[in-house]
Amino acid sequence: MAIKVSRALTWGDKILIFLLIVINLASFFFLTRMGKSKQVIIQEDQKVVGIYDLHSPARTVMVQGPLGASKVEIREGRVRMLFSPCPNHTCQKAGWISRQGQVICCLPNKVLIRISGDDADPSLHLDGIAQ
Amino acid sequence: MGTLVTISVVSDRETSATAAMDRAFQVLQNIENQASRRIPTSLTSKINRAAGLSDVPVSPDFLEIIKKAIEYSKLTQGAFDITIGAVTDLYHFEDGEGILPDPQAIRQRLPLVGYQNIHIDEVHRAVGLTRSGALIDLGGIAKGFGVNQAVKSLKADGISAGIVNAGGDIRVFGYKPGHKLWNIGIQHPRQSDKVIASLEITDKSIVTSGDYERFFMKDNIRYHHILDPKTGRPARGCQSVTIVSQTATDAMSAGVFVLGPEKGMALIESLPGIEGIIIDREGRALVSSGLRSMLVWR
Repeated sequence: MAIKVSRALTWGDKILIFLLIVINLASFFFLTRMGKSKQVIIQEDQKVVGIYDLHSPARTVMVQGPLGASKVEIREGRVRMLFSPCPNHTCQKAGWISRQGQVICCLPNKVLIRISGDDADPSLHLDGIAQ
Repeated sequence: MGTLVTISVVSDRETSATAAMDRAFQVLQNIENQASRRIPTSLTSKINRAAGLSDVPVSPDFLEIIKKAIEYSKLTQGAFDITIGAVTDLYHFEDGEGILPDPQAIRQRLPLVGYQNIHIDEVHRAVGLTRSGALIDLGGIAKGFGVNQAVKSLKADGISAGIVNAGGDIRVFGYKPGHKLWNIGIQHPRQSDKVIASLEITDKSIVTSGDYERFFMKDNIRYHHILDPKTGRPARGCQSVTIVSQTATDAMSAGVFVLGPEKGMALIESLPGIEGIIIDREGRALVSSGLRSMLVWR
């Protein structure tokens, strides 16, 4: 039995192609956004005391440690130790961090700030950054 | 060392691995205690206080750092020099704000700069400075030396694979689980949340010197901590220099930074086992011949 093949696109084909393009663009946008969903995790003496979106509006977080209150600042996709009551302020001198896996650690006041999140591309995972 | 040090090792025996890492941290702490200018009892502080007066007895480790520093000074024709500290202090980078020094003050301190002012007494294992007012600052070499010593300690404790990272001075050895290489990124000099490239390595060290580490801005000009020992002013040819070699050589990256892109790359290419990436003042990347096929640009 012969089958007749039509070469012209039907309205159904056009709608399907249109929908595929929309889904493709939407998933690209969604995945790109996912890559940016990093979180700041603040720990005191190994206990998580706060989790914040790195890209949330600017804020300052006070963390009470054994030496006193440490002040953590989250702003414009970055986080830093704004003030620490520790003796040598190494944690403050670390400056801003913004990448997944980066940490700021204050051993004397037992405060740890780290950035976690999901990388859309697993090849982006780095064991270290020369800087 | 004023920086965060992380050590990760691959082992199936957690207790002995933890003990090995503790010993490696102790090695780093010992070097810090001897080399830091911030610690008044350190050998560096004692030598600086005795400048122009007498030599100070030192440990074998400390003597090795000084000898290596002089070796890199000669190799870079004085572009790397641990006696630059006499001028660096004028900029007050450590205070977080920074001060643009008076040119006259820089001119007055420059005669104190010169590795030729370091005196080594091999017989009595002592080090001194021949000029009063001269000082040594091991900030550009002690971190790399510490990383190498930490790796040596881990290997002596039977650890076959790991990574030591002292504030971005990195050395890796062995393989990650699954026989994978270590994936190391190179910091983008102008965008703090980006890497310019990455490469997969083992049994190598990778260190970077950049004008973004310690600096202050004045009248839209960046004043950073890598000073040219000849002028006492920030070296202007590069944004960053990354060196890939067998052992951590932060002195080499700092020296090449001061030499600038052309002379710096010529030096890298002339040395066996040394590869490098120079980001010049315009942000262009120069890559040494042995590294071109290894880089993944980001």
